[in-house]
This record gives sequence, C-alpha cells and structure tokens, in this order.
Amino acid sequence: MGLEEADDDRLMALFAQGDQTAARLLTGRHASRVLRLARRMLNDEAEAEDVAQEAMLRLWRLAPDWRPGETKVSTWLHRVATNLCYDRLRRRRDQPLDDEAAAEIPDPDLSAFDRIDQAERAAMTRAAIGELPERQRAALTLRHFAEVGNEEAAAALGVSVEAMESLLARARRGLKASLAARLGGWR
Amino acid sequence: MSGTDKTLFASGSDAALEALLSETRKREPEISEALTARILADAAQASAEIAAARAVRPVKAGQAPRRAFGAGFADWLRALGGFPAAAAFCAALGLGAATGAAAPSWTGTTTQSDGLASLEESPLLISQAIDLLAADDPMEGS
Repeated sequence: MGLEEADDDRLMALFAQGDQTAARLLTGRHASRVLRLARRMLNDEAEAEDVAQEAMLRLWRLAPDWRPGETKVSTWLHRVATNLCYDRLRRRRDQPLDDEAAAEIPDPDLSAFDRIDQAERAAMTRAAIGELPERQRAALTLRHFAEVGNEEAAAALGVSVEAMESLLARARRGLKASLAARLGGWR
Repeated sequence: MSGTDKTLFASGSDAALEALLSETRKREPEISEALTARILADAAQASAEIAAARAVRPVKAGQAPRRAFGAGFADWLRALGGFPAAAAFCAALGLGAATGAAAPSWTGTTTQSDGLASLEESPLLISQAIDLLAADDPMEGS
C-alpha cells in the first residue's frame, strides 16, 4: 500500500518519525478545508491563512502523542481551527468591518436577483454568513464549507449532534432572512 | 444558480439555500502555494523539534536505551574535541572518570551509543560513558 492510501493515523505516526511525505499528504487532505472554515468564520483571508497555518502547526507538534482511533484528524483540526477563530473574533469584537469586507456587502439597489451574477451572489452570501452569531456560523461553515457531516461537526464544536442540528437550523433561518434583505425576493 | 433556479431561489426553500451555499463554496479559491509552503516548512521545523526532544528524553529504569540520545551526545562531545572535551565535561561535573568500563553492562547491550544513552541515570554512568569515549581518542584510547 502506498502512502497515498494510508489513513490519517498512519500518516501521523510516520510524521512523528520524521516523514515529510506524510506531512505533505496530511496537508493536502486537510489544509484546504481548514482554510475554508477559517475564511468563512473570519471573513479575512490573511487571518484565515494564519489560523490554518497555526492549526496545522499544532497538529505537527501533537504528532508524537497522537492516539490512533481516539479522534479523527479532521475533527481535531476543525475543533482547533474553530477555537482559534473564536479567539480572533473575540479580540476584534466591536470593531467595524474592514473596508474589503464592507465592500463585499452589496448596494441595496442591486437587490434584483437577475441583476447580479454568481460572484456577487457569493459575496453577498459570504457577507451574510459573516453576520451570523459565531456558533451558528461555525456550524454552518463546518457543514457547508469544510464539508463535514453533522456528527463530525458536532464533535468539532464539542456539542451533541442534536445541538449541532439546532445551531444549523437557526443558522439557516438567519441566513435566509439576511439574504432576503440583500438579494430580494426570498421569503 | 442558473436562470432556471430563480424560481427556486424565490421559493425561499432549504434547497434554494443549499444551492446558494454550494455555489458560494465552489467559488472559494484554492489554498495558495505560498500557504502550503509555509505549512510544510512548519512541519519540517516541528519534525526537527520532535527529533531533538526525543534525543534528550531521560531513560527510565528498565527502559530500553535510546540510541539516538547516545549517538547524539557522543557526536556532540566529538564535535567539541573528542576525549579531551569529554574529560573536561566530566571534570566540570565533578566526576572522576571510572576505569575498567570497556563494556557498559548496565544497558544490557554493549554499544558505545547505548552506554551513552544512560547518561542521565547516574553520575557513575556518566563517568563510565566518558571512559568509553576515550577509545575514540588516539592519545588516550590506545
């Protein structure tokens, strides 16, 4: 079996022994999702990259003590990344959106659905996600941007699956309301 | 979301939201090469730190000797200047070099590195290990 087929636990063990190919494979498998999660949580590319890098660094340092089968690497990473995002959001709470983020919020005049293209809709959706309460945002982002299942997302957030589903439901309701105001026509 | 989906969008359904989120996710840029390079550089650095931590981890009673520590320590002493430096190290610790320790029986194995692996176990072992290094020295080891 080639390293490409090795599971994450095996790659962690190999990395702990100094195997840099294992590090490359783990990065390829997980860093993009962690970055997407952080992007949508923080709405700031530079901060999201810092969070992704920090979460991966913590994974590397944990490698010698990694216990196979105890938790999934992806769950662990998402949990660490989410907490790092919470920390950053706490630090900048009450600060206004920066110019770049603000620029993504569309002019209300552009509310007609057929007057905007995909890029604009995506920007509006990102902005609307950014306004959700943190835990709802984390739930929605884990589910839709890190693309993990409810069970794993719940583990990453440290809540029950039921609580995760509740957060997700509230996030979706909030998002719909926000998008209705932004895009128009959504009832 | 295509033009056809405008109706779906207007419905405000969960399916419409899913479609919009999916559309948004697909527009997410890929992870940059620069970030990947930073992550892998961190991995290399962490690897080095892990190896270094392993090299100095104390040997516990009954535990197999750690060759990495022994070899690393011997290399360090050799880099310092071989037996003279080892003797100085020993003297700095206030230890007299033991004699007659040609084979380090305390480790259960008899390589020089294994002997050095037990350096943290007792001052006597240190002095015995230092003696072993004398074998490296052309002046002292012959």
